[in-house]
Amino acid sequence: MKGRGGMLLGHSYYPVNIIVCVKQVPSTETTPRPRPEPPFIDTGGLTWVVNPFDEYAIEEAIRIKERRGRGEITVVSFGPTLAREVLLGALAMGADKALHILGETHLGIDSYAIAFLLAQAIKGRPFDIILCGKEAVDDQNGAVGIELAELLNIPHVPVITKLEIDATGMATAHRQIEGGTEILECPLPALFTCQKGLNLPRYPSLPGIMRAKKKPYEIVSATDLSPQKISKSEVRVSVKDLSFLPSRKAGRKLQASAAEMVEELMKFLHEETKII
Amino acid sequence: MGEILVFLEQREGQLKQSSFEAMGAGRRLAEKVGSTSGGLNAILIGNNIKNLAETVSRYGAQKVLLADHPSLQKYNNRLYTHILAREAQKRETIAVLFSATAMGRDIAPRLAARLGGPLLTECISLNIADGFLEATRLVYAGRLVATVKSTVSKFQVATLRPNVFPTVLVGAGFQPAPGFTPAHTKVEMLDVSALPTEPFAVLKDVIYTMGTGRGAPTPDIAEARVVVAGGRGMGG
Repeated sequence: MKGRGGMLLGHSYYPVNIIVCVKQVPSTETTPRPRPEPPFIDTGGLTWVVNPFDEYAIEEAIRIKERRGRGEITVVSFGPTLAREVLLGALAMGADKALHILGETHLGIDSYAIAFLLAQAIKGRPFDIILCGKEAVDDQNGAVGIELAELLNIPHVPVITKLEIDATGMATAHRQIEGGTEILECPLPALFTCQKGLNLPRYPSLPGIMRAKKKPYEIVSATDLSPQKISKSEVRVSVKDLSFLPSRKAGRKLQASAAEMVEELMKFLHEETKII
Repeated sequence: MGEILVFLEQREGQLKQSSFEAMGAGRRLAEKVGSTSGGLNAILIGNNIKNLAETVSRYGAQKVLLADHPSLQKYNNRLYTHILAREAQKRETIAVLFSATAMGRDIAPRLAARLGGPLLTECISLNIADGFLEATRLVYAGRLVATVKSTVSKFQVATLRPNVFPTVLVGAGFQPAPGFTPAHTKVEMLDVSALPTEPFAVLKDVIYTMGTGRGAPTPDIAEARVVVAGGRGMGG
Protein backbone atom coordinates (compact mmCIF):
# COMPACT_ATOMS: atom_id res chain seq x y z
CA MET A 1 0.00 0.00 0.00
CA LYS A 2 1.99 2.92 -1.21
CA GLY A 3 0.89 6.46 -1.78
CA ARG A 4 -2.67 7.41 -2.34
CA GLY A 5 -5.09 7.18 -5.18
CA GLY A 6 -3.52 4.17 -6.88
CA MET A 7 -4.24 1.86 -4.01
CA LEU A 8 -6.55 -1.09 -4.45
CA LEU A 9 -8.40 -2.96 -1.82
CA GLY A 10 -9.99 -5.33 -4.35
CA HIS A 11 -13.30 -6.72 -3.24
CA SER A 12 -12.34 -6.91 0.38
CA TYR A 13 -14.78 -6.57 3.20
CA TYR A 14 -13.19 -3.69 5.13
CA PRO A 15 -13.91 -0.96 5.84
CA VAL A 16 -17.50 -0.21 5.17
CA ASN A 17 -18.76 2.02 7.93
CA ILE A 18 -16.81 4.88 9.42
CA ILE A 19 -17.92 7.06 12.31
CA VAL A 20 -16.25 10.42 12.87
CA CYS A 21 -16.70 12.29 16.16
CA VAL A 22 -16.42 16.06 15.94
CA LYS A 23 -16.70 18.95 18.36
CA GLN A 24 -17.50 22.59 17.90
CA VAL A 25 -14.99 24.82 19.72
CA PRO A 26 -14.25 28.54 19.95
CA SER A 27 -11.68 29.55 17.34
CA THR A 28 -8.22 29.77 18.87
CA GLU A 29 -7.89 33.20 17.31
CA THR A 30 -10.11 34.56 20.05
CA THR A 31 -9.48 34.18 23.78
CA PRO A 32 -12.72 33.60 25.65
CA ARG A 33 -13.34 35.59 28.84
CA PRO A 34 -13.76 33.33 31.88
CA ARG A 35 -16.98 33.26 33.87
CA PRO A 36 -17.52 31.65 37.27
CA GLU A 37 -20.48 29.48 36.22
CA PRO A 38 -21.43 27.21 33.33
CA PRO A 39 -20.70 27.58 30.50
CA PHE A 40 -17.61 29.07 32.24
CA ILE A 41 -16.81 31.40 29.36
CA ASP A 42 -18.46 34.47 27.95
CA THR A 43 -19.72 33.11 24.64
CA GLY A 44 -20.64 36.50 23.22
CA GLY A 45 -18.54 37.53 20.24
CA LEU A 46 -16.82 34.17 19.87
CA THR A 47 -16.27 32.55 16.50
CA TRP A 48 -17.14 28.87 16.56
CA VAL A 49 -15.30 26.38 14.38
CA VAL A 50 -14.82 22.65 14.06
CA ASN A 51 -12.03 21.46 16.34
CA PRO A 52 -8.93 21.52 14.07
CA PHE A 53 -7.85 17.97 14.98
CA ASP A 54 -11.33 16.69 14.08
CA GLU A 55 -10.85 18.03 10.55
CA TYR A 56 -8.03 15.52 10.07
CA ALA A 57 -10.46 12.81 11.21
CA ILE A 58 -13.13 13.89 8.71
CA GLU A 59 -10.58 14.08 5.89
CA GLU A 60 -9.12 10.67 6.73
CA ALA A 61 -12.57 9.08 6.69
CA ILE A 62 -13.25 10.53 3.25
CA ARG A 63 -9.89 9.29 1.95
CA ILE A 64 -10.50 5.78 3.27
CA LYS A 65 -13.88 5.76 1.55
CA GLU A 66 -12.40 7.12 -1.69
CA ARG A 67 -9.71 4.43 -1.74
CA ARG A 68 -12.24 1.77 -0.89
CA GLY A 69 -14.66 2.95 -3.54
CA ARG A 70 -17.61 2.52 -1.22
CA GLY A 71 -18.59 2.87 2.39
CA GLU A 72 -20.58 5.18 4.58
CA ILE A 73 -19.34 7.99 6.79
CA THR A 74 -21.46 9.10 9.75
CA VAL A 75 -20.36 12.23 11.51
CA VAL A 76 -21.43 12.59 15.16
CA SER A 77 -21.39 15.60 17.43
CA PHE A 78 -22.63 16.41 20.92
CA GLY A 79 -23.53 20.06 21.25
CA PRO A 80 -26.21 22.75 21.14
CA THR A 81 -28.25 23.74 18.06
CA LEU A 82 -25.28 25.79 16.87
CA ALA A 83 -23.23 22.59 16.47
CA ARG A 84 -25.28 21.95 13.31
CA GLU A 85 -22.72 24.15 11.54
CA VAL A 86 -19.84 21.74 12.13
CA LEU A 87 -21.95 18.75 11.13
CA LEU A 88 -23.02 20.50 7.92
CA GLY A 89 -19.37 21.38 7.31
CA ALA A 90 -18.40 17.71 7.56
CA LEU A 91 -21.26 16.72 5.24
CA ALA A 92 -20.07 19.38 2.77
CA MET A 93 -16.56 17.92 2.85
CA GLY A 94 -17.94 14.47 1.99
CA ALA A 95 -19.47 12.71 4.99
CA ASP A 96 -22.75 10.91 4.21
CA LYS A 97 -24.88 11.24 7.34
CA ALA A 98 -24.99 13.37 10.46
CA LEU A 99 -25.99 12.41 13.98
CA HIS A 100 -26.52 15.37 16.28
CA ILE A 101 -26.66 14.65 20.00
CA LEU A 102 -28.45 17.77 21.09
CA GLY A 103 -27.49 19.21 24.46
CA GLU A 104 -25.54 21.94 26.17
CA THR A 105 -21.88 21.16 26.54
CA HIS A 106 -19.17 23.11 28.34
CA LEU A 107 -16.09 22.59 30.52
CA GLY A 108 -18.29 21.31 33.34
CA ILE A 109 -19.39 18.25 31.33
CA ASP A 110 -16.37 16.01 31.78
CA SER A 111 -14.77 13.65 29.28
CA TYR A 112 -16.43 10.57 30.73
CA ALA A 113 -19.92 12.04 30.42
CA ILE A 114 -19.28 12.96 26.77
CA ALA A 115 -17.76 9.57 25.97
CA PHE A 116 -20.75 7.93 27.62
CA LEU A 117 -23.21 9.89 25.45
CA LEU A 118 -21.27 9.10 22.29
CA ALA A 119 -21.11 5.42 23.21
CA GLN A 120 -24.87 5.32 23.82
CA ALA A 121 -25.49 6.98 20.46
CA ILE A 122 -23.07 4.74 18.55
CA LYS A 123 -24.01 1.39 20.12
CA GLY A 124 -26.25 -0.58 17.84
CA ARG A 125 -24.99 1.19 14.71
CA PRO A 126 -22.58 -0.65 12.43
CA PHE A 127 -19.01 0.61 12.37
CA ASP A 128 -15.58 -0.64 11.37
CA ILE A 129 -13.57 2.47 12.13
CA ILE A 130 -14.14 5.37 14.51
CA LEU A 131 -12.05 8.49 14.01
CA CYS A 132 -11.67 11.38 16.47
CA GLY A 133 -9.31 14.32 16.80
CA LYS A 134 -6.42 13.74 19.20
CA GLU A 135 -7.87 16.36 21.55
CA ALA A 136 -10.20 19.36 21.54
CA VAL A 137 -8.45 22.71 21.64
CA ASP A 138 -10.90 24.06 24.24
CA ASP A 139 -10.74 21.57 27.13
CA GLN A 140 -7.44 20.03 25.96
CA ASN A 141 -8.29 16.70 27.52
CA GLY A 142 -7.38 14.24 24.76
CA ALA A 143 -9.55 11.72 26.57
CA VAL A 144 -13.02 11.38 25.03
CA GLY A 145 -11.92 9.25 22.06
CA ILE A 146 -9.97 6.80 24.20
CA GLU A 147 -12.73 6.58 26.82
CA LEU A 148 -15.19 5.92 24.00
CA ALA A 149 -13.03 3.03 22.74
CA GLU A 150 -13.04 1.53 26.22
CA LEU A 151 -16.82 1.93 26.60
CA LEU A 152 -17.34 0.26 23.20
CA ASN A 153 -14.77 -2.40 24.11
CA ILE A 154 -12.68 -1.94 20.97
CA PRO A 155 -8.94 -1.32 20.59
CA HIS A 156 -7.59 2.16 19.95
CA VAL A 157 -4.48 3.89 18.69
CA PRO A 158 -4.17 7.57 19.63
CA VAL A 159 -2.35 10.47 17.97
CA ILE A 160 -1.87 8.88 14.55
CA THR A 161 0.00 10.48 11.68
CA LYS A 162 -0.57 7.69 9.14
CA LEU A 163 -3.25 5.05 8.63
CA GLU A 164 -3.41 2.18 6.17
CA ILE A 165 -6.02 -0.56 5.99
CA ASP A 166 -5.33 -3.85 4.24
CA ALA A 167 -7.77 -6.21 2.57
CA THR A 168 -8.15 -8.40 5.65
CA GLY A 169 -9.30 -5.56 7.89
CA MET A 170 -5.97 -5.00 9.60
CA ALA A 171 -4.95 -1.40 10.15
CA THR A 172 -1.37 -0.17 10.30
CA ALA A 173 -1.05 3.11 12.13
CA HIS A 174 1.86 5.43 12.83
CA ARG A 175 1.66 7.11 16.19
CA GLN A 176 3.68 10.05 17.42
CA ILE A 177 5.57 9.58 20.69
CA GLU A 178 8.40 11.51 22.36
CA GLY A 179 11.34 11.54 20.00
CA GLY A 180 9.91 9.13 17.46
CA THR A 181 7.12 7.16 15.87
CA GLU A 182 5.48 3.91 16.89
CA ILE A 183 4.24 1.58 14.19
CA LEU A 184 1.25 -0.48 15.29
CA GLU A 185 -1.00 -3.11 13.79
CA CYS A 186 -4.57 -3.01 14.94
CA PRO A 187 -7.50 -5.25 14.01
CA LEU A 188 -10.81 -3.58 13.11
CA PRO A 189 -13.18 -2.45 14.44
CA ALA A 190 -10.99 0.10 16.17
CA LEU A 191 -10.81 3.74 17.13
CA PHE A 192 -8.05 6.13 16.09
CA THR A 193 -7.41 9.71 17.22
CA CYS A 194 -5.91 11.96 14.58
CA GLN A 195 -2.89 14.24 14.78
CA LYS A 196 -1.69 17.05 12.54
CA GLY A 197 0.35 15.60 9.69
CA LEU A 198 -2.09 12.77 8.97
CA ASN A 199 -3.45 14.56 5.92
CA LEU A 200 -4.35 17.98 4.58
CA PRO A 201 -8.09 18.55 5.07
CA ARG A 202 -9.92 19.67 1.93
CA TYR A 203 -12.14 22.70 1.65
CA PRO A 204 -15.78 21.90 0.93
CA SER A 205 -16.68 22.45 -2.72
CA LEU A 206 -19.69 24.54 -3.69
CA PRO A 207 -21.65 21.48 -4.92
CA GLY A 208 -20.58 19.76 -1.67
CA ILE A 209 -22.11 22.58 0.37
CA MET A 210 -25.33 22.40 -1.67
CA ARG A 211 -25.56 18.62 -1.30
CA ALA A 212 -24.87 18.77 2.47
CA LYS A 213 -28.27 20.26 3.20
CA LYS A 214 -30.01 17.28 1.58
CA LYS A 215 -28.06 14.59 3.39
CA PRO A 216 -29.66 12.61 6.25
CA TYR A 217 -29.50 14.58 9.51
CA GLU A 218 -30.62 12.77 12.64
CA ILE A 219 -31.13 14.52 15.97
CA VAL A 220 -31.23 12.73 19.31
CA SER A 221 -31.56 14.43 22.64
CA ALA A 222 -28.72 14.02 25.13
CA THR A 223 -31.24 13.58 27.92
CA ASP A 224 -32.90 10.71 26.04
CA LEU A 225 -29.58 8.92 25.75
CA SER A 226 -28.62 9.47 29.33
CA PRO A 227 -31.04 11.07 31.73
CA GLN A 228 -28.91 10.20 34.75
CA LYS A 229 -25.37 10.12 33.51
CA ILE A 230 -25.29 13.70 32.40
CA SER A 231 -26.69 14.97 35.67
CA LYS A 232 -24.42 16.76 38.07
CA SER A 233 -23.87 13.78 40.32
CA GLU A 234 -22.52 11.68 37.47
CA VAL A 235 -20.03 14.19 36.16
CA ARG A 236 -16.86 13.07 37.87
CA VAL A 237 -14.74 16.15 37.46
CA SER A 238 -16.19 19.57 38.23
CA VAL A 239 -14.78 22.99 37.37
CA LYS A 240 -14.15 25.21 40.39
CA ASP A 241 -12.57 28.15 38.73
CA LEU A 242 -11.44 29.44 35.37
CA SER A 243 -9.12 32.40 34.99
CA PHE A 244 -6.56 34.01 32.74
CA LEU A 245 -3.02 32.78 33.10
CA PRO A 246 -1.06 34.96 35.50
CA SER A 247 1.08 37.23 33.38
CA ARG A 248 4.70 36.35 33.11
CA LYS A 249 7.20 38.10 35.31
CA ALA A 250 9.31 40.58 33.42
CA GLY A 251 12.73 39.35 32.39
CA ARG A 252 15.89 40.75 33.86
CA LYS A 253 18.51 42.40 31.72
CA LEU A 254 22.15 42.49 32.69
CA GLN A 255 24.05 45.56 31.60
CA ALA A 256 27.69 45.83 32.51
CA SER A 257 31.06 44.77 31.21
CA ALA A 258 31.27 41.21 29.92
CA ALA A 259 33.22 40.00 32.93
CA GLU A 260 30.76 41.56 35.36
CA MET A 261 27.77 40.17 33.48
CA VAL A 262 29.24 36.67 33.57
CA GLU A 263 29.78 36.97 37.26
CA GLU A 264 26.28 38.27 37.87
CA LEU A 265 24.73 35.58 35.69
CA MET A 266 26.70 32.88 37.51
CA LYS A 267 25.54 34.26 40.81
CA PHE A 268 21.92 34.33 39.58
CA LEU A 269 22.02 30.75 38.31
CA HIS A 270 23.76 29.55 41.42
CA GLU A 271 21.97 31.39 44.21
CA GLU A 272 18.55 32.34 42.93
CA THR A 273 17.56 29.62 40.50
CA LYS A 274 19.90 26.99 41.98
CA ILE A 275 20.21 25.47 38.52
CA ILE A 276 23.97 25.07 38.90
CA MET B 1 -7.71 1.72 53.07
CA GLY B 2 -6.51 3.09 49.84
CA GLU B 3 -3.27 4.04 48.32
CA ILE B 4 -1.66 6.32 45.78
CA LEU B 5 -0.34 4.34 42.86
CA VAL B 6 2.18 5.79 40.41
CA PHE B 7 2.71 4.30 36.97
CA LEU B 8 6.39 4.09 36.12
CA GLU B 9 7.00 4.24 32.41
CA GLN B 10 9.80 2.25 30.81
CA ARG B 11 10.71 1.62 27.24
CA GLU B 12 13.36 -0.93 26.37
CA GLY B 13 14.48 -1.11 29.98
CA GLN B 14 14.88 2.62 30.38
CA LEU B 15 12.78 4.48 32.95
CA LYS B 16 11.24 7.75 31.85
CA GLN B 17 12.54 10.66 33.90
CA SER B 18 9.13 12.27 34.19
CA SER B 19 7.80 9.17 35.98
CA PHE B 20 9.87 10.31 38.95
CA GLU B 21 8.11 13.66 38.85
CA ALA B 22 4.87 11.70 39.22
CA MET B 23 6.49 9.88 42.16
CA GLY B 24 7.31 13.24 43.75
CA ALA B 25 3.71 14.42 43.33
CA GLY B 26 2.45 11.04 44.56
CA ARG B 27 4.52 11.26 47.70
CA ARG B 28 3.12 14.65 48.54
CA LEU B 29 -0.40 13.27 48.14
CA ALA B 30 0.43 10.23 50.28
CA GLU B 31 1.74 12.50 53.03
CA LYS B 32 -1.46 14.54 52.94
CA VAL B 33 -3.69 11.49 53.05
CA GLY B 34 -1.74 10.37 56.11
CA SER B 35 -0.95 7.11 57.78
CA THR B 36 -4.47 5.71 57.55
CA SER B 37 -3.87 5.14 53.86
CA GLY B 38 -2.00 2.43 52.08
CA GLY B 39 0.73 4.96 51.31
CA LEU B 40 2.59 5.34 48.05
CA ASN B 41 3.21 2.45 45.71
CA ALA B 42 4.61 2.29 42.21
CA ILE B 43 3.74 -0.06 39.37
CA LEU B 44 6.14 -1.15 36.67
CA ILE B 45 5.19 -3.20 33.62
CA GLY B 46 7.50 -4.90 31.11
CA ASN B 47 9.76 -7.87 30.54
CA ASN B 48 12.98 -8.59 32.37
CA ILE B 49 12.89 -5.36 34.33
CA LYS B 50 13.40 -6.53 37.91
CA ASN B 51 16.59 -4.46 38.14
CA LEU B 52 14.58 -1.30 37.41
CA ALA B 53 12.23 -2.01 40.29
CA GLU B 54 15.15 -1.85 42.70
CA THR B 55 16.24 1.63 41.61
CA VAL B 56 12.80 3.02 42.44
CA SER B 57 13.31 2.82 46.22
CA ARG B 58 15.16 6.13 46.07
CA TYR B 59 11.93 7.89 45.19
CA GLY B 60 9.95 6.92 48.24
CA ALA B 61 7.64 4.08 47.24
CA GLN B 62 6.72 1.54 49.88
CA LYS B 63 6.15 -1.11 47.29
CA VAL B 64 6.89 -1.60 43.66
CA LEU B 65 4.29 -3.76 41.98
CA LEU B 66 6.11 -5.55 39.21
CA ALA B 67 4.39 -7.09 36.19
CA ASP B 68 7.28 -8.85 34.51
CA HIS B 69 6.43 -11.21 31.67
CA PRO B 70 7.61 -11.95 28.10
CA SER B 71 4.15 -11.06 26.74
CA LEU B 72 4.73 -7.55 28.12
CA GLN B 73 7.99 -7.04 26.23
CA LYS B 74 6.32 -4.46 24.01
CA TYR B 75 4.10 -1.65 25.13
CA ASN B 76 0.42 -2.56 24.75
CA ASN B 77 -2.28 -0.14 25.88
CA ARG B 78 -4.95 -2.78 26.47
CA LEU B 79 -2.79 -5.20 28.48
CA TYR B 80 -1.35 -2.34 30.51
CA THR B 81 -4.88 -1.05 31.20
CA HIS B 82 -5.96 -4.54 32.24
CA ILE B 83 -3.12 -4.92 34.73
CA LEU B 84 -3.54 -1.43 36.15
CA ALA B 85 -7.32 -1.76 36.49
CA ARG B 86 -7.01 -5.12 38.21
CA GLU B 87 -4.50 -3.80 40.76
CA ALA B 88 -6.43 -0.57 41.34
CA GLN B 89 -9.61 -2.53 42.03
CA LYS B 90 -7.90 -5.06 44.24
CA ARG B 91 -6.21 -2.37 46.30
CA GLU B 92 -9.06 0.18 46.32
CA THR B 93 -6.70 2.79 44.99
CA ILE B 94 -7.46 6.41 45.81
CA ALA B 95 -5.59 7.70 42.79
CA VAL B 96 -3.42 6.45 39.94
CA LEU B 97 -0.89 8.98 38.65
CA PHE B 98 0.78 9.07 35.25
CA SER B 99 3.19 11.43 33.64
CA ALA B 100 1.36 12.97 30.67
CA THR B 101 3.67 11.36 28.13
CA ALA B 102 2.49 9.67 24.94
CA MET B 103 2.14 6.48 26.99
CA GLY B 104 0.45 8.09 30.00
CA ARG B 105 -2.02 9.96 27.81
CA ASP B 106 -2.77 6.71 26.02
CA ILE B 107 -3.53 4.53 29.05
CA ALA B 108 -4.99 6.97 31.61
CA PRO B 109 -8.33 7.63 29.83
CA ARG B 110 -8.79 3.95 29.08
CA LEU B 111 -8.12 3.10 32.73
CA ALA B 112 -10.44 5.84 34.03
CA ALA B 113 -13.26 4.66 31.78
CA ARG B 114 -12.77 1.05 32.88
CA LEU B 115 -12.73 1.93 36.58
CA GLY B 116 -15.53 4.44 36.16
CA GLY B 117 -13.30 6.96 37.91
CA PRO B 118 -12.70 10.68 37.41
CA LEU B 119 -9.95 11.71 35.01
CA LEU B 120 -7.85 14.85 35.44
CA THR B 121 -5.50 15.35 32.51
CA GLU B 122 -2.37 17.44 31.96
CA CYS B 123 -2.31 18.73 35.54
CA ILE B 124 0.15 21.51 36.32
CA SER B 125 -0.59 21.35 40.04
CA LEU B 126 -2.14 18.56 42.06
CA ASN B 127 -3.51 18.43 45.55
CA ILE B 128 -5.78 16.25 47.63
CA ALA B 129 -8.39 17.31 50.21
CA ASP B 130 -10.61 14.81 52.03
CA GLY B 131 -9.63 12.24 49.45
CA PHE B 132 -10.67 14.30 46.41
CA LEU B 133 -8.06 15.36 43.88
CA GLU B 134 -7.89 18.99 42.90
CA ALA B 135 -5.76 20.18 40.02
CA THR B 136 -5.04 23.12 37.81
CA ARG B 137 -4.71 22.62 34.08
CA LEU B 138 -4.48 24.75 30.97
CA VAL B 139 -7.45 25.10 28.65
CA TYR B 140 -8.45 27.15 25.59
CA ALA B 141 -5.18 26.71 23.72
CA GLY B 142 -3.23 27.26 26.94
CA ARG B 143 -4.58 30.74 27.52
CA LEU B 144 -6.82 30.06 30.51
CA VAL B 145 -6.17 28.01 33.59
CA ALA B 146 -8.94 25.87 35.07
CA THR B 147 -9.12 24.59 38.62
CA VAL B 148 -10.86 21.25 38.52
CA LYS B 149 -11.96 18.96 41.30
CA SER B 150 -12.81 15.32 41.36
CA THR B 151 -16.25 14.50 42.73
CA VAL B 152 -15.47 10.84 43.47
CA SER B 153 -12.78 9.86 46.00
CA LYS B 154 -12.01 6.42 44.60
CA PHE B 155 -10.19 5.29 41.43
CA GLN B 156 -9.18 8.82 40.49
CA VAL B 157 -6.82 9.00 37.53
CA ALA B 158 -4.54 11.94 36.80
CA THR B 159 -1.90 12.72 34.20
CA LEU B 160 0.81 15.20 35.15
CA ARG B 161 2.42 17.49 32.67
CA PRO B 162 6.14 16.63 32.36
CA ASN B 163 8.80 19.09 33.57
CA VAL B 164 6.41 20.77 36.01
CA PHE B 165 6.57 18.67 39.17
CA PRO B 166 9.89 18.33 40.97
CA THR B 167 11.38 14.90 41.61
CA VAL B 168 12.21 14.24 45.24
CA LEU B 169 15.05 11.88 45.96
CA VAL B 170 15.58 9.98 49.16
CA GLY B 171 18.58 11.64 50.77
CA ALA B 172 19.34 15.10 52.01
CA GLY B 173 16.23 16.89 53.23
CA PHE B 174 14.05 13.86 52.61
CA GLN B 175 10.91 13.68 54.72
CA PRO B 176 9.74 10.11 54.61
CA ALA B 177 6.09 9.45 53.85
CA PRO B 178 4.15 8.03 56.79
CA GLY B 179 5.21 4.50 57.52
CA PHE B 180 7.92 4.59 54.92
CA THR B 181 11.53 3.52 55.30
CA PRO B 182 13.65 3.73 52.14
CA ALA B 183 15.43 0.49 52.83
CA HIS B 184 12.12 -1.33 52.96
CA THR B 185 10.80 -0.73 49.48
CA LYS B 186 9.42 -4.11 48.64
CA VAL B 187 9.07 -5.59 45.21
CA GLU B 188 5.77 -7.40 44.84
CA MET B 189 5.55 -9.67 41.83
CA LEU B 190 2.16 -9.54 40.11
CA ASP B 191 0.63 -12.64 38.60
CA VAL B 192 0.43 -11.96 34.88
CA SER B 193 0.17 -15.54 33.69
CA ALA B 194 -3.44 -15.19 32.51
CA LEU B 195 -3.73 -12.00 30.47
CA PRO B 196 -6.86 -11.41 28.41
CA THR B 197 -7.02 -12.23 24.72
CA GLU B 198 -9.18 -9.25 23.69
CA PRO B 199 -8.21 -7.67 20.36
CA PHE B 200 -5.55 -4.97 20.70
CA ALA B 201 -3.10 -2.89 18.73
CA VAL B 202 0.28 -4.59 18.52
CA LEU B 203 3.43 -2.49 18.57
CA LYS B 204 5.56 -3.60 15.60
CA ASP B 205 8.38 -1.11 15.71
CA VAL B 206 9.50 2.26 17.02
CA ILE B 207 11.54 4.64 14.89
CA TYR B 208 13.42 7.16 17.03
CA THR B 209 14.51 10.46 15.55
CA MET B 210 15.66 11.99 18.83
CA GLY B 211 15.92 11.27 22.52
CA THR B 212 17.52 8.42 24.39
CA GLY B 213 15.77 5.69 22.38
CA ARG B 214 17.62 3.09 20.36
CA GLY B 215 19.31 4.54 17.29
CA ALA B 216 18.22 8.12 18.01
CA PRO B 217 20.67 10.60 16.49
CA THR B 218 19.93 13.60 18.75
CA PRO B 219 18.85 14.11 22.37
CA ASP B 220 15.27 14.95 23.30
CA ILE B 221 14.92 18.56 24.41
CA ALA B 222 11.84 17.71 26.48
CA GLU B 223 13.93 15.53 28.78
CA ALA B 224 16.57 18.17 29.41
CA ARG B 225 16.80 19.67 32.88
CA VAL B 226 18.58 22.76 31.66
CA VAL B 227 18.38 24.22 28.18
CA VAL B 228 20.99 26.83 27.31
CA ALA B 229 20.17 29.15 24.45
CA GLY B 230 22.05 32.09 23.03
CA GLY B 231 20.81 35.06 21.07
CA ARG B 232 19.69 38.63 21.23
CA GLY B 233 16.65 39.97 23.00
CA MET B 234 13.80 41.14 20.82
CA GLY B 235 13.00 44.13 22.99
CA GLY B 236 9.74 44.66 24.84
